Amino acid sequence: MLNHAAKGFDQVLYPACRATLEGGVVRVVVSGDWTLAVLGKIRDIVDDLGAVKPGVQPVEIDLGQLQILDTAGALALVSLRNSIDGKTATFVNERSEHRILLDEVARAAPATAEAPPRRRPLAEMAGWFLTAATAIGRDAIRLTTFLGETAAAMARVIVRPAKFRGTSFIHQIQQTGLTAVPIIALVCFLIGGVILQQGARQLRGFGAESLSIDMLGILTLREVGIILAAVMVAGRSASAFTAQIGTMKMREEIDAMRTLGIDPIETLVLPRILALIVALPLLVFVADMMCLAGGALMAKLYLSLDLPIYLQRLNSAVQVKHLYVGLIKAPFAALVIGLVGCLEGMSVQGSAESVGTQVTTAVVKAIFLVLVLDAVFAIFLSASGF
Amino acid sequence: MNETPPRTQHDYAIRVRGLTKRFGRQVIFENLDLDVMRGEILGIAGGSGTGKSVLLRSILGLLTFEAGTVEVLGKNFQTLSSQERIAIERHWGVLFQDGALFSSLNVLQNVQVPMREHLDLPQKVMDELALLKIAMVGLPANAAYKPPSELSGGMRKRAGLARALALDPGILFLDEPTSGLDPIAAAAFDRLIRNLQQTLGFTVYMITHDLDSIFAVCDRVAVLADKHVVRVGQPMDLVRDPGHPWVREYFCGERGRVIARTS
Repeated sequence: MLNHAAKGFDQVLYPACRATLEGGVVRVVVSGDWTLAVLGKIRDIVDDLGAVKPGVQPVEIDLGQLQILDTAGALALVSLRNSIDGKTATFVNERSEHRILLDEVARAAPATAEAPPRRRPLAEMAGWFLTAATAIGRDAIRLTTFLGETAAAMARVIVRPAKFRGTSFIHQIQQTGLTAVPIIALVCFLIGGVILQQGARQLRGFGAESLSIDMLGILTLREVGIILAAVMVAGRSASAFTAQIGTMKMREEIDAMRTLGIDPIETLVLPRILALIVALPLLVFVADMMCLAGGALMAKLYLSLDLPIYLQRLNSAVQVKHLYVGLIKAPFAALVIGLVGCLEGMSVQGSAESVGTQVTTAVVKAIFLVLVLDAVFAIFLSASGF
Repeated sequence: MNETPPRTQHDYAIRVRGLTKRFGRQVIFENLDLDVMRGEILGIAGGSGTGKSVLLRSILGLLTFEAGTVEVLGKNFQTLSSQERIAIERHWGVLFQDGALFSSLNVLQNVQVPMREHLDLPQKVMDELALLKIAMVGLPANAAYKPPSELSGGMRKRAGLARALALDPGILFLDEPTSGLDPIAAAAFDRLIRNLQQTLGFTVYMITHDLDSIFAVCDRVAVLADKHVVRVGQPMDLVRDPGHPWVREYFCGERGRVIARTS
């Protein structure tokens, strides 16, 4: 039983282990390379040797024929020694460089017994629910606080207009407004055409095809123009604000501004929000017009109505109050988009990963809040007779 | 399958010959030669912008260069197939400046990444080995389950070192291992590298600004200046015979003299 050898691995460079009984001492002769590359074989060998139980005789692990040793092999040898008996089993004939490594591994090895922290799935789930449930409340408080800070900064700027960052304001109008015109115009042109065409198709059953123009006019001016423009701007500009401010936060530029006596809300947030408040109504007007233009094209193609007839029909269907209903929502939507974008940017923590998460959050929240805002306005304005 | 090459003392771990590297019209290196012996700790010093990091990246194959050859463990990197490249890459570990730990994984998983990628080991064995490495670099065991964002700068470097050591590399590349650490932590890190190097017997290629590190750890120093390696030698030899204005200023300044006297 003690001549239990590792079968088949007795070539020089393969790890091997042979146990013999010599004069009351169990001698385990280790040879070959004990490295990570042959760890599978090492484990087989050690498992085989596990059958050797020394009883009372001392055990000597002879490392004289050991060739190359790395940490994985050293760990296997140390755990082999400890598994036989930590006290009576010893290493003999080891080379000095192996000795250093074995000592180091033996010193560090007890730490491997450390178990990972216990997980409590139920508590974790409860905690997750609690966080999610209170998130809305916390978000509302954060957003309101931020609105207050921005309003305070606005008040300071009104008192001392010299503090206003005019260049930044104009630049942001260009970035959020002018450069958004092509994409918003194109999308609205297409959607306007689609609404008219679908409306005409459904109303054809009642012989009221031309009512689709009334529908398009009212729907566009009241809802579609503002929603399309606001959602596009939320996607473009809220993300841009978060990324810009977030990157500055990450590189401690915001802290640097504070130490230099510059208020980041006045410098970064206010120009952006004000620019958006100016730009979004203009974009909504562009969106309205492009929707109606798309409708005009579709009226010609689908209903064979010429432009003058289309315009006459539109003129009798819509009143100017419908345009106002759409436009009045734009500054509020702009405020929400700007606040969310800047607030999420300010919430960025140290890492680049955090910028990515905050940008995603900003876009999702901005679009969500814009739609909620629109619904609230729709209810309020209908109820008050507009 | 004898993976680790035999260790003879005067063998080259890295051999750079005639390296020329340009960025546009800016020449970084011109005909640069550098030898790193097996089993030594070579420090790379040089002023800002002399291309210490560029040289490291060229050796690692992260940057291409215009002319010259880089041999790592006797293999010319540029002529290798991607298969052979991976075989070489298994034999080196790299510690980037801030550890470059993967932020979505905890420390234990970070250390296991190379094992998972290159070896087929049972999870239990990988856990044991990774915890051993984490203990060897001097991190407390409870750090193993923390994400990198919860570690201090020094702990991130140690965790990065544990990952670099995961496969028992033949060559360890360190990019300013002590920068951003306080002097005591830096000295501890120097000792750690020295101890691990003596224990595991690997070659160390270490970029450093830190005179303390150079005198405490390095067997030899190579100084980069004027697009070349201007001086190579033992730190004390460079103090005695600087031979280049930058080397003189660096090693024979007030700080250099103090450290050279005490070490």
